[in-house]
Amino acid sequence: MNDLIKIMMMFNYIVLFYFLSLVTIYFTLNIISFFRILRYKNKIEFADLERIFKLKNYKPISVIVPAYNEGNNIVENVKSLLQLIYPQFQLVIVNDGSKDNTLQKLIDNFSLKQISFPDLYKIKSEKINAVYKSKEIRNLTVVDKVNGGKADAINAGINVAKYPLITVIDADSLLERDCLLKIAQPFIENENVVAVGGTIRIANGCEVRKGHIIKVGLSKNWLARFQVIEYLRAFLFGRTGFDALNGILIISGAFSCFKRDAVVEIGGYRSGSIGEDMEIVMRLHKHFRKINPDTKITFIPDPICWTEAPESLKILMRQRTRWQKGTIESLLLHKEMLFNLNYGLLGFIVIPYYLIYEFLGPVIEFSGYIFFLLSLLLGILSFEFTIAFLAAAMLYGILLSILSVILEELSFKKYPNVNHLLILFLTAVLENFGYRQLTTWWRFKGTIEFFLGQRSWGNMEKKGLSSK
Amino acid sequence: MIQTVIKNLQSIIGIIIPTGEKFLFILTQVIVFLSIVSFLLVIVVLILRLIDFLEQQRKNKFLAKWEKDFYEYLGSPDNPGKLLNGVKKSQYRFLLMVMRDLFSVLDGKDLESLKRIVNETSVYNFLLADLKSRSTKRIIRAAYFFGASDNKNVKALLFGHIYSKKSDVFIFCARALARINAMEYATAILLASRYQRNLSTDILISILLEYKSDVCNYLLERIRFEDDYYKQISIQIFRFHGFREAADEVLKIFQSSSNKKLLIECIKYAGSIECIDAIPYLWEHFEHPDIVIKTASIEALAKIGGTELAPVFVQRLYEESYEVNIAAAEALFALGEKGIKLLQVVAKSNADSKASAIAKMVLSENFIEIDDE
Amino acid sequence: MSVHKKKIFYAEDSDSLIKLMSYKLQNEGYDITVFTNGEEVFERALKEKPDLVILDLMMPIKDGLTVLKEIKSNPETESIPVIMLTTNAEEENILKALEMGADEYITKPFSTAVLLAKIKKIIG
Repeated sequence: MNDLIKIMMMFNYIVLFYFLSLVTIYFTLNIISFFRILRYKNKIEFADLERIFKLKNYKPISVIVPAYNEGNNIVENVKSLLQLIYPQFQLVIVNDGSKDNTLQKLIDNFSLKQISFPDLYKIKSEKINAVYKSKEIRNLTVVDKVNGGKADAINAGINVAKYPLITVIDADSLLERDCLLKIAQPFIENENVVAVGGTIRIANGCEVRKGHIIKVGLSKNWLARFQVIEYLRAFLFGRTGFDALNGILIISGAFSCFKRDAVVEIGGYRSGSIGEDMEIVMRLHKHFRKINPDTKITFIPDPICWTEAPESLKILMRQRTRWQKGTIESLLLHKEMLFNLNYGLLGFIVIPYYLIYEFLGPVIEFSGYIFFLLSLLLGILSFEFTIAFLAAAMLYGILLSILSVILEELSFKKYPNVNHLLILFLTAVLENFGYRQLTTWWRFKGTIEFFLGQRSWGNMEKKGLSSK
Repeated sequence: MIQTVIKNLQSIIGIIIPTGEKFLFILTQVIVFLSIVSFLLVIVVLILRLIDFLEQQRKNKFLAKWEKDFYEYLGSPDNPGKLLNGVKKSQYRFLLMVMRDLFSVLDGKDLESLKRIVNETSVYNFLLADLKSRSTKRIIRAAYFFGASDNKNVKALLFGHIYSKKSDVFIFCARALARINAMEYATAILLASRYQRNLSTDILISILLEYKSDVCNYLLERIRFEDDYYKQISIQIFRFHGFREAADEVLKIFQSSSNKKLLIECIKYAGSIECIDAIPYLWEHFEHPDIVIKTASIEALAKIGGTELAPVFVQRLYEESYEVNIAAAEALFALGEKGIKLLQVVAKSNADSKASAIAKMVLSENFIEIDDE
Repeated sequence: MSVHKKKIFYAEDSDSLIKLMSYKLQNEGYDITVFTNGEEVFERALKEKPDLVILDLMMPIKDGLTVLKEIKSNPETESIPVIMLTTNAEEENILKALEMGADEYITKPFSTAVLLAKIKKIIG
């Protein structure tokens, strides 16, 4: 009995350390991000991108859009994508064996004609049935292929894409019109950049007209609001901070840009992987940093892409367990990068961070809750202590969320009303009572499921490419 | 065994974490501290918002009056000095932002008026102080406006910044020098760019393209005395400007160099200015073992044209590399009627399915039927 | 000068240009209505029959070419003259616009004096 108490006490200490270290890391990241974002803002204010990209030596971009059962929105989405500002780009819509009328709608609306496309695929993908082009809109290409999931659809798109840069977006991503100019800029400035990610924001509650954000707002749905805070935290200081260490491990699939040759060289996306967006980034690091230590995968803090967040618990749960499985899968697939001198700070700081806080985090946090409860019941910890400890932990969480709101306020100031700010603060507080625990539980569940071998969830997701 | 481990660990942790009452006390302190900080931060955000709001109001109030005079002045021969009468230094940033938005869309007399504001009024001194400052933000702003308004007086100051360790400062100041068309600094920019870690050739080209086309003459005079990198960049600039006078020099480099990047630039240049004298050298590289060089040669020859080349391109359709095949098919297409006819013949034949597939692709991409009847 | 002010529609997504052009056009005695995107231009044109429409090619929601097509393919509005503002001096876009019935085009960057002269030439 005495031993049990000691073990539990030990565990409580571990949880305590876990929290303290996490908060310290977040704080450091926050400070790094602050300076990086200000630097970026100063630069972009006078960058005059539209004029500079007229100077002939731009890099043309192929925008790849995997689509599965998007019949309802696809035409409008394509029309708004065609209005992006960039001197030369093509749209490659990949119909991933949709069961609805996605393909027919595209054919009818853009008077597509089938063209002959020989089998010169550089990377593997499911069979391409046909390639279509539009006579009127010369930069539109549509690929019709056998269903194979998102990663596979992107691979097919890469095979057909003809330009040196590829941008991969979700069919329902809402893009700022100058997003291509901004995402291409790091490639132009630095030769060693192989991939660039963009900041994703939540579109729920924003006024959207024909694929364009007219006015930024906040959803009335609390689940969506919690995600707004989560995204602010993750992108504004999580990723920007890691970027300083050249340690971007994940680029959101909703908006990412790569050098085409680099992706082809590593064989494209890993078909059938659960977290294809993280896996490919890790593989890019692994492959290219060995060849060229200066290789960079970077990230722009500018919010250039808005996405609809799930407002139902069931879909959100599915998304989060999948993310967790994807993270674990990618980390395990590339475990040899851990503490590997080739990858610099990535191997010594970022990957350990992901292992401890993303992979083991939910396990520690979840068992922490249980142990605390047990300790309390067994009288090992006093009631006051438990409450005080929980309160401190929550306050730290709140503080971090508030910091991310400050960062947003100092940089991009996308939320126009004071009301929005007040709601965001309230959200930051309420998030700690329920939502946080819920996501921890989902991530815990994802971890357990991953090791119990229920990885087939990835297959089910194949059919749910459209997040709505 | 386990017990001792636990004991040891516990004693280690015990040192770091005080137990019992003391711990609780510290925790409460932490809680109080965190609550206060959080609360203060919320206040800070609200104050920031308030400051921003007041700033917007000041801006709108200022602009409402100033913009009328400004629009009236744009395109007129009036003295810009009047516009700045009674404008406080703290209001300059409002008017600078208005000018920034207009610099890239206006031309002619309007643009002249904008430039005169920067060059002939107290805005000049304001920006000059920015340029002399140590703040990256201010230097960038000043460099932008001096570059946009073609101010020749600040060349030396801009030059002083191009060896800066900060790549943003380098990029903005070099770009400004180029926009001013400060020819004498072109080489300096090229050299300084090497001191910038990780700076790409793309951004360097983009900067040099800001120069007017007479930069080509300047580069041509120097190219012989400089190294391969300088040559490679210069030839690229020649190509973008369609500068034919460099043909002789480039052909000399083409024959003597073995640097792959440089060779490719020579080939592209020859193609883009349709240099007939280059044909024999391009021929040589037609058989080059490197696929990129080979593809570039085909593309260049296609641009120079001449239907007599058609059979050669057809041959290349049957080669192993896809890149070469596609380049050859596109070259045939670019030749016009005769090339298209040949493509149609290849497309219909089934001797080599790959060649015919590629011919079909290029034809159908351009919406041309395989059977023209 | 007639008592009736000539009515001009101006669709453009750059705020600073909208402000500048509104001032200049009002100064010349025109009645100007601005749009920040192409969405409602055609419907309003059908209702109000302006004397001239100025369209920026690159606009969100509905781009300039689409609006031009709508105006020029409706018998009620096809006689309204249209000036296109193109950001890129690309031949292709200019040709497309002229083919679709645009009466004039101006490439950015442009001089307001030139644009005003062209307007004057078309509607007096």
